[in-house]
Amino acid sequence: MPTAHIDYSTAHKILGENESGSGLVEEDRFVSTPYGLSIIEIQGELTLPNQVPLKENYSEEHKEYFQNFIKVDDLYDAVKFGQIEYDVKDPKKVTLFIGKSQRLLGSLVDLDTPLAILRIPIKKDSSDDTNENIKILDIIKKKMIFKQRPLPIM
Amino acid sequence: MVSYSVYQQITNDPEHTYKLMQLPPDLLEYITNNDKEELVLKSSITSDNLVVCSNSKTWRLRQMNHSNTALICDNLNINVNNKFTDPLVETGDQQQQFDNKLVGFSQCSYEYELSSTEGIIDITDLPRHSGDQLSDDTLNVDTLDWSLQQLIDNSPISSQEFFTKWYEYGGCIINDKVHILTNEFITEILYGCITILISENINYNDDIEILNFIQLILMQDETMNQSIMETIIHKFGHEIKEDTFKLDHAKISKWFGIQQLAKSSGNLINKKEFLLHWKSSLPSFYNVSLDIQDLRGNYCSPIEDKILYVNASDLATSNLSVRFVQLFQLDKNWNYDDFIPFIADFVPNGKKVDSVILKYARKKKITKDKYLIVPR
Repeated sequence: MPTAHIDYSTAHKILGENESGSGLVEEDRFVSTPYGLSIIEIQGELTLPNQVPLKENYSEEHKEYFQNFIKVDDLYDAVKFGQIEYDVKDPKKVTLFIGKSQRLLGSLVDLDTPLAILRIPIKKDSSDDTNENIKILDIIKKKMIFKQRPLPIM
Repeated sequence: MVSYSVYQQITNDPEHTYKLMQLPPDLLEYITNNDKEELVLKSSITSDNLVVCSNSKTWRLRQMNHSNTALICDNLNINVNNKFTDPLVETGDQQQQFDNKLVGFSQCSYEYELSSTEGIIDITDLPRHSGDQLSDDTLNVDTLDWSLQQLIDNSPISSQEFFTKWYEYGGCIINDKVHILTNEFITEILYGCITILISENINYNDDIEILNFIQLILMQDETMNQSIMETIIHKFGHEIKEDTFKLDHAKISKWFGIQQLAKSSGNLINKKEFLLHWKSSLPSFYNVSLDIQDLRGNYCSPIEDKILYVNASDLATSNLSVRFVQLFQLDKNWNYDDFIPFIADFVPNGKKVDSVILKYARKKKITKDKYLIVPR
């Protein structure tokens, strides 16, 4: 790949739009961009299950555990690892509850330098000549960052 | 209180990877003001450079690793990409279905930091053209047999910067392949072009029509081609309008001066004697002013009234301290103005040249306006 074109048409559109008039409901406007993307940054590593539990093992007893898993677009497995809460009156303070025992206090911070989210096609081998360009999906100007150690839920 | 359930995909999109790239103000401005102009990610096969290029600017990418977990999430309330979710098993919990959901679809352990940089064309392995024959005679197994587009694609530099540098290096196209004109051949071409202009009674100080000029030269000199002439025009002229240019006589006389100086390589030459040689190297009846000071950055003067050729490309580029040592090996008492051109390109942005000098050498006052640079 000596040269790859970057499709920035969406980014151009985003930058040309009036942010305050993006038509989002207030709650969504704080956590994500008008194009729906956001960044959550947590200190350290997030250890998640590698795979979803087998459906055959479902029982009323394990209901709560199974409820954490969803299928996205019928393709990808996802697991719920927490709950984010914030007050619309003070959206700068965000709390992330992990499970039932831990909470992380965080903040919604403005980024010094906006971040572009790039979607880069993966070429499976050198003969793969798909012409899909790299695309800037969105421009992120603020992110939720959780810098502190987890606190117990009282 | 607003609440979102936060999910993270544990199986990922096999066809795409997602990266975060910082957008410095000038790139942000470019994206805001354009939607059709070029924006490319380029790498060089001969170096580790990874750059982003607009049509006129180049930014170097640096991977900034961090130990945090950064999740890129999609807010399914907005859902531009029409994602949908289903529970893994139906548990009869309606709440789960209607929750606010943030679904993380990628984890990033680094960001790309962009910093404005000067693009690079690596001409080391390009074939040289010395004009003996207008064919691929200089091509050998060690040189790159590239078209211009291949070179552009493999050079970490924006297209506008590319052409400015390309002409400056004396790049041209011979039989659809890129070549670099040798200095001797450039001198020969310049000599020939100016002589032809004078013999055709064309005032070389006037604006010259590009097309007529190229045709005139091609008719009289069969070793030329269109591409070589375009390079000469861009290297030694200023485009006035789309179809006319003006020769830059200061640059031309400097070129002849440096080539003449290079011939004396290793030997001290008397300034007056050099001026005579310089004058005689120019085409007959080509009258331009000659001043040795115009050649600063190419000579030193260890002995009064004598100069010695210094090839700046032979000096160390990565280590400024070594460069100073090399310069002081040539002359222990440098005239301040003669010294500056050798280090000017290495002064970091926002720093004064004197502060760099003081770090590696001393500045000695001789008279009110005259300074010497001497070793510590």
